[in-house]
Order: sequence, then C-alpha cells, then structure tokens
Amino acid sequence: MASAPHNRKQGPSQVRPASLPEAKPPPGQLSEFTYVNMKNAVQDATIIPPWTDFQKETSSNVQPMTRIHYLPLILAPATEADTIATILHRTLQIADQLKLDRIVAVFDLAIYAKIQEQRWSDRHKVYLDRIIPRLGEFHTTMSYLGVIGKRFGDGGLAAIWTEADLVAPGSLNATLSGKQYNRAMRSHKVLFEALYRLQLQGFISTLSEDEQSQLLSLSELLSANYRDSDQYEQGSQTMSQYLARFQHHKSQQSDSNPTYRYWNSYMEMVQTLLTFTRASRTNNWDLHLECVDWMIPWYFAYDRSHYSR
Amino acid sequence: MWDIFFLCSSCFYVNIVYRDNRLKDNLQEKIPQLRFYKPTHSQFASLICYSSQLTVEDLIERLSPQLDNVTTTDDDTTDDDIPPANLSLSSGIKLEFRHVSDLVNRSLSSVPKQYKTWPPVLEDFSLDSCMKYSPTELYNLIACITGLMKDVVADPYVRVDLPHDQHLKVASICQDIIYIWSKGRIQPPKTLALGLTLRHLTGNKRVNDILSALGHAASYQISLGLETALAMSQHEQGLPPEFQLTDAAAVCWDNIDFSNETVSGGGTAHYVNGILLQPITQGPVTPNTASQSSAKISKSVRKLPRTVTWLVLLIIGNKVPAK
Repeated sequence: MASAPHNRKQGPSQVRPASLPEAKPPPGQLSEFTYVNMKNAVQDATIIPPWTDFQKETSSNVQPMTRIHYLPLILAPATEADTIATILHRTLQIADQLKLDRIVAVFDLAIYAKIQEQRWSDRHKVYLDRIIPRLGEFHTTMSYLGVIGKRFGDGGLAAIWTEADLVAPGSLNATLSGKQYNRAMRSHKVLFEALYRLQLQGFISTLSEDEQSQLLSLSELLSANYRDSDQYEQGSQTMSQYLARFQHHKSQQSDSNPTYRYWNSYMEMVQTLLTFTRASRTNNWDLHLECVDWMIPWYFAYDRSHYSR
Repeated sequence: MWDIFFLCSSCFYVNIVYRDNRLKDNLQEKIPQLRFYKPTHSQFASLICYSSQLTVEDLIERLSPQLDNVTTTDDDTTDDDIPPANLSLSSGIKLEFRHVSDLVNRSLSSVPKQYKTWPPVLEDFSLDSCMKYSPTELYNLIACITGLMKDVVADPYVRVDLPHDQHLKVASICQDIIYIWSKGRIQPPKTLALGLTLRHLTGNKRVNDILSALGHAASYQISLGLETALAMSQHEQGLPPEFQLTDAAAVCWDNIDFSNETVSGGGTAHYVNGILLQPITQGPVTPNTASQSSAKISKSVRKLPRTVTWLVLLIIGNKVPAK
C-alpha cells in the first residue's frame, strides 16, 4: 500500500486578484446579438432554430470524437483525505500507463478544493507538476445558475417563470438553485431572448429610418443565409457596428432607469452563461478563461466560495 | 381385369373395414395374375391391386385421375359422403412446404453456436455480426413472406437488398427465430442487447420475463450473467487497448451516491467514480498493451465478487498549533 506523505497545509504560491464584474461588458455578445436580430426580423421566428441548434449550424469548429473508459469505483466517501490521496495516486498511475508527462483531472467543487490542498502540500511536487486539476464546466455552470437564481429569484424571476408556465411551482426551487440543469438552462434561454427582444425594440426606435431599414435588411439576409459560413461571418462583422451602439444605448438606459439596470445585469449574466457554454463546446480556451474571469466576482458576491477560489 | 382393379383401388376411398386380408387371399387364389401393393402413405388406407402384366408407368398413368379424387376422411364420414378434393395440389403444396422448411432449417445450423469471447465485445453487436445470425435462406424467406421483397428471388442463396429500416426488422425477426429454434441455447446479439437494455431501463424482471417468453429477449438470468461478465472483464482489463500512448488524456472524478433505503437512514453508499477520456485523433496508432487480462469469464457467474478497495493513506504528520 503506497502512502502520500504530507506535513502541513499549504496554500497556492500566487493569487491573482479578480476584477469587478461591472468593469467590463460580458464577452462574446456578437453571436447572441446577431441571433436575436435575425429572429426579430423574420415573420415566423420558428424558422430560426433554437439557440443550441443555431450554434451547431453556425459553428465551424467540429470537435473530434472522444473515447471513454469507466474507471473502477473507489468504495469510500469522496471527501475523506485518504480517498483524495487515492484519487491523486490513481490519476498518476494512469498518466504513467499512457506515458504522459502531465494529465488533466476534472473534479467538482467539493473534491477540487481538497485535491488542491493535497497538491499544494506535496513535498515532492509530483502531484503539483504532473496533475493539472480543473473544475468541470458542468459543475461550474450549475453553481453559476445558482448565483443567478439567488440574485434574481426574489426579484421577479420566479414570478415570471411560473406565470409564463416555463417552470412549474414545484420545480421552481431546484431550477433556481441550478440543480435541475436542463430546465434552468432552457428557462434562462427563453427569458433571455424575450428580454433581449424588448431591449432591441427600444434600441431600434432610437435609430434613424435609414439605419432601421439597413439593420432589418441585414438581419433578413442573415436569417436566410446563416448556414453559409462566409456570409454569416461577413454579416456578423457588419452587425458588430450596431452592437457597439446597442451597448451604449443600454448603459444610457441603465444610468437613468434602476429597473432597466437591474434586469440588464440579468441579461449580462445569462449572456456570460451562454458564452461560457459555447466556449466549452467549441474548445475556445481564451473565451473560456474570459468568461471565468467575468464570473468569478459573482461567485464571491453570492458566497460560492469553492468556485471563487 | 380393369374392373377388378378399380374395384380394389376404390377400396381406399371408403376405408373398408371388412377383412381385406381374406379378400386378398381369395382373389389371389382365383386370379394368380393379380399383384397387390400397399402404399406407405397414410392417405392410402387400403391395397392397390393390379395385374402382373401392367407396368409401373401404366399403373401411375391410370391411377392419377383416381388419385385426384382422394382425400382424407373424418371418422364420421360415411360411404356416401365422400368429399372430393384436389390431392395433387394438396400434396404439391405439402411437398413444397416441406422442401422449403428443410432448406431453411438446414441453413439455421450454420449460425455460430457461441461468441468467441464471453462477454461478447462491441463488434459482436454490430449489424454485420448480427447478420451471422440471419442465414441468407431465412432472411430471403422472411423478406418474401412479409412482402418487403417485391420481385422474385433470382438466387435464393444471395441475400436480397432491402432498405436499412426494413433490413433491421428482418434481421431482428431472423434472430428471434434462431433463439426459438435453439430453444434459447443460442442467444443472438439482439436478444442479449434487448434483455440488458430492458434491465437497465426498467430494472423490472417481469418485463424481461415477458419478452423472453415471447422469444424476443434473453432470459433475466442471462442478462444478469452478461452484466456480471461485463463488469468482471472491465475490472480485470485495466486500460483498454484503444487508448493511445502519449496522446493527451483527461480523467474526471465525481462522487456517486446511491440512495439506499436503510432503517436508520445511515449506512448509505457514497463512493467515487471516474472516467478516462481521450480525443480520437487521426495518425499513427500506438496501442496501449499495458495490462490486458486473458482470464476466461464463466457464463454462469451471476454475481460480482466484492473487491476490497485499498486506499492510499494520507499521512499529515504532527499538528502544528496556531501561533
């Protein structure tokens, strides 16, 4: 039986301070701006597929298939120190068998925190050098859904969802807390799109008639040809000019109207949630980091201490 | 002579019950040229009597119009109530039926009696492997009688081409027939996969029993055995050979809790499970041959022996009090 000697608890060597959430706009907004404009332009919005299918059809980044192997169960509770040591030991064994210098290990928040403690305390720095621990995107998203639910649940979100029959009253708490992942994602997507359309209507009314017709014709053109990657790319670039003005419009409205500001923060949080999902599925590491960077202050603000670390 | 012949030949129409042995002796005594023949077919309950001067060809030629009127008779049929029927058509159909069933039956013996390894591997459940359990003659016959094949078969030994969805259905029926034909001893891939899928989806033994009794799925015991064998092979295998050396890989660990209903609420199962992931890349293949087990797994094992998980001990050392 092998043993992993550790003497005392050790923290990480460097901690980088996180920036405040209000300091910068959420990343990756152009895709959703284009998407909602397209849906706004067509008579029958159902001809544009739902968000996930739309992302699939417009994404050119096709990920390779993955082979999966189920590892033997560890018949011990996950949060005990010996179990954590066993997880690290077995992970390293797999890396040795596959002749890998480093191996990525993905955990949920409860195990991740304890894994990090043991990695930092490892005298020989084998675990520190060879195992790259990562928080799973699924659990990160679940926790973030909980943050959104906590911030907006009593602020009208619960009432909107139940009134609109998006969520049954019996499922409301689990959906708000993010435990019912699929239901929460769907409900947020629907409300996000509905509010986005209202924001867009307000924005379009501030444009001149020429600009309005130009934006409308661009959106119609994109909705007809979005499956053509070149045309979609080109149209999105043109759309980015309007996005900058839309941002400006939103900040103006937020300054003058507290309710607008409150729900605009919901839009920004869900925007980041969608961008984070897109980044994970398209293997976009920079966008992924940008999203995590944007999300971290919210974890701190809503007592999700494991993820905020 | 012909009168006598027809007199005798008419005997089998009516199931005469008087002592025909005596009649035969009497006739032979009086007319030595007479010959008697007793057909083995149960249709002919009496003797055929003919002259020794008659050749076999003549006899058949003369007899065939009479045979056309021969049929089986019920027990309560009287001499006057003889239902006319078409014997040649009936016997022809029976002969064809017999011939086809013999042909198909012979083809069934060509199917594999067992899998190369137990438990069967992924390749054994591919459609190509399933076709080993669908002999061509049987497949064509099913396609023919279900009306999926419109044209006449040019060659019964060449499998007909069907659209994919129909192909799946016919292959499925063929595997059901193999399962019934072998009295459940041969379990084609469909029956194993369906049994195990039902077990995983419903966890209901009765559903499995019903479909097994109807000949669609392997029995519940076989499903348990397959599941156990799969778990044992997974446990003994180590890393599968498909995982490439030096290709980036990731492991995911998560807690898995089973909500066992214990009396006290305590003692429930809280374990850790993990998966290993590796992207499938194109390029030179370096298969991992690290720890392959060649141990044979018995088909009769229904329960996985509990293994002890040795944990790595975490040695923290002396506690340092806060300053």
